[in-house]
Amino acid sequence: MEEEHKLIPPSFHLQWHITERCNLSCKHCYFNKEFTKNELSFEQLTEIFYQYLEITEKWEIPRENNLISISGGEPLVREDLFDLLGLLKKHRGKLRYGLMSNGTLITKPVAKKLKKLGIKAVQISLEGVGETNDKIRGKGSFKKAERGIDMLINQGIAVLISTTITKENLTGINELIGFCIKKGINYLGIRRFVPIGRGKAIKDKMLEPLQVRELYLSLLQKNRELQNKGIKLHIMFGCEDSIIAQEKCYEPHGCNAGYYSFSILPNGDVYACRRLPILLGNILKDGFYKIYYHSDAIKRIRASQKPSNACQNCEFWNKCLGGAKCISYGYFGSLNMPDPQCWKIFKKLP
Amino acid sequence: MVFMEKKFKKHPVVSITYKCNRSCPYCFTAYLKQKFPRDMSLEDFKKMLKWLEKQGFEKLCFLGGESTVHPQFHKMLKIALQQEFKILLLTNNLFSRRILEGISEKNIFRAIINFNPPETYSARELRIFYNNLEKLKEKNIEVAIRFNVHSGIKSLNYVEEICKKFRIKQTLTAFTTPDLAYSRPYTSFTEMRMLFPMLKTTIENLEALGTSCLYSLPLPKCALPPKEYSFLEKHGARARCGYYHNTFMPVILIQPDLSVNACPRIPFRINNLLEYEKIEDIWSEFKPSWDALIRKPLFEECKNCEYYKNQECFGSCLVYKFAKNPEEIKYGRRT
Repeated sequence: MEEEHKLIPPSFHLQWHITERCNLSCKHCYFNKEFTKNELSFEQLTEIFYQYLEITEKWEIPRENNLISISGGEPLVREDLFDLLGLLKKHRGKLRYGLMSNGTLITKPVAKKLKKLGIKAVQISLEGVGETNDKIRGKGSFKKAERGIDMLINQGIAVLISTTITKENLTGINELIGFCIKKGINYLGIRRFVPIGRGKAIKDKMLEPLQVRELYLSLLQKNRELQNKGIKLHIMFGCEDSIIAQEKCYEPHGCNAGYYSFSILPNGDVYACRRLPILLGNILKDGFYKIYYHSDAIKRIRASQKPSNACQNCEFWNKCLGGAKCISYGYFGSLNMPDPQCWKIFKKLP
Repeated sequence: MVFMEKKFKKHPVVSITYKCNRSCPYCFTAYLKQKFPRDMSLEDFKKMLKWLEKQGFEKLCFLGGESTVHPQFHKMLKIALQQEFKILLLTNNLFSRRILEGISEKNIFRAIINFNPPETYSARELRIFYNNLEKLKEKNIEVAIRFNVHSGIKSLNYVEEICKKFRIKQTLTAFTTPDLAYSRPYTSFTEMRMLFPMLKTTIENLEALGTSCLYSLPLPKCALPPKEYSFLEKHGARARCGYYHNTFMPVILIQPDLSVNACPRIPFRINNLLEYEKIEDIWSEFKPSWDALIRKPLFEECKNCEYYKNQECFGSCLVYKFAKNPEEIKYGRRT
């Protein structure tokens, strides 16, 4: 196989959206009720899991580099979530796994069960504290999420907070940092908003390029302050952070989508990333192996790592590779466009 | 036995780890990960340097795996520097900023960077790769790009592009060869013939850019037609291995547990480097098996081949002689 000669992943991260159903209806969500009717059965989830195990074993991916994040919608609305986690636990010698949740359904018994099922860390999505969060995620959701966080912490499960920044919650970031410190949380992930799914309707809430710059720089400063004060909280930027390379003060993460990380949707559709809505195939129909090596869409995504016209002469291209493909695609509908929030190219959103 | 003068000795090669943060499909050391699951300890590293110093070596080549993922890589560089050893680092160039900070022209005299087609790297990796390349150049470390030719490659333009962009003056290349376990895809002679025009054009284009290209692995005389072979011969290809100017002097590969292999692709092995007084003693140990392997023809046709009879060709890379089915070397693996 030609492609096999070129590419074997040394690590793998699967973000597995087992359901689209959710007890919340956040304004910026990347889902928009497309998959509910076709949600897979537990048997089909099991089939996917064994397919995943088979290929990661074939690739000889060591346990520490093999990660499944169970996500949704809200994964806890699926009654068989615990059965799935039980299955993952059985194979914990081969992979690590975690949960991504809105936290509102995590009660004491749920937290206990998660602990028992080997969950070491849960990522909870919050958009701010109190009202700031509730404006985006729905009334009363903050209180419920806070309770969930407390329950997890009480069980010794690590909590990571993930927040998507828009114009609606930008000013609430300091309050959220204070909340994380108060709860003893070690990681706060800051994500840029991708205008897809339901979030398309609030495209105008995207930060302006210079606001993104200011946000990134202020958070880097905040990290230094926290470190100087001996506070354990670390503010992290998401994998869409590479445009900050132009400030020369931070080494961005960049993105692994389509190589070492993939998303599976509730109906088995495979995307390079949930935030990059380009369908690669369906795992149950096509098989992951065929998708990974032979899908035309994946080849197109992999070949897109070339400078767009706007980036052609940029001295920072080697360090940022044109910014976040998910945001370019969500905003312009094309992989070959620059990042609309790059402040070197745009002073205002184009 | 006549051995080379000290000054002609090749750098010993050491694998401090076989772990790697990448997984190149053609990797010829990947199968060693299971054989040597433990990394070289700092203590053993010190002992090894002492031993090598006694032999008069001043330079050392780090192979791997990917040496930079060894948890004590920095400490090893420091120790090597204290003992006035200089390191030739073979790397995939995907190391972290922390590793980069510890690297300087004082401890790394040359970096040979393996580079695959850019579409095989994630954006994260590619960004790290470019950044590290730029920084190594800024640190005045001599940098060479190594590119591998195999049937998965449809174009080598990426090599020219990176050399142009980063003003790289040296490249190394080879058709991919099997590992000893024959566990991964490699390039058959038929494929070599098909791939040769692309390689030739690339070498010529590189030279037009002022970038040299060295063919860095043994290649049997019959792998390519004479004219093509002679082109690669001018760029370093040879059909013998282990002998230099008729003197037996193989590369020695020091493994993480201080055992020594004659080469990563050859099974001849001694248990502990430190049990030997001199490197020549190790070579003597390897020589009978090596010579027996040389005498073993690769194909039936070798017996009638003038090159083979005159010992101008050993069947080249000796790993070919461990093939279960030599026909596959000619025509490719049948899956």
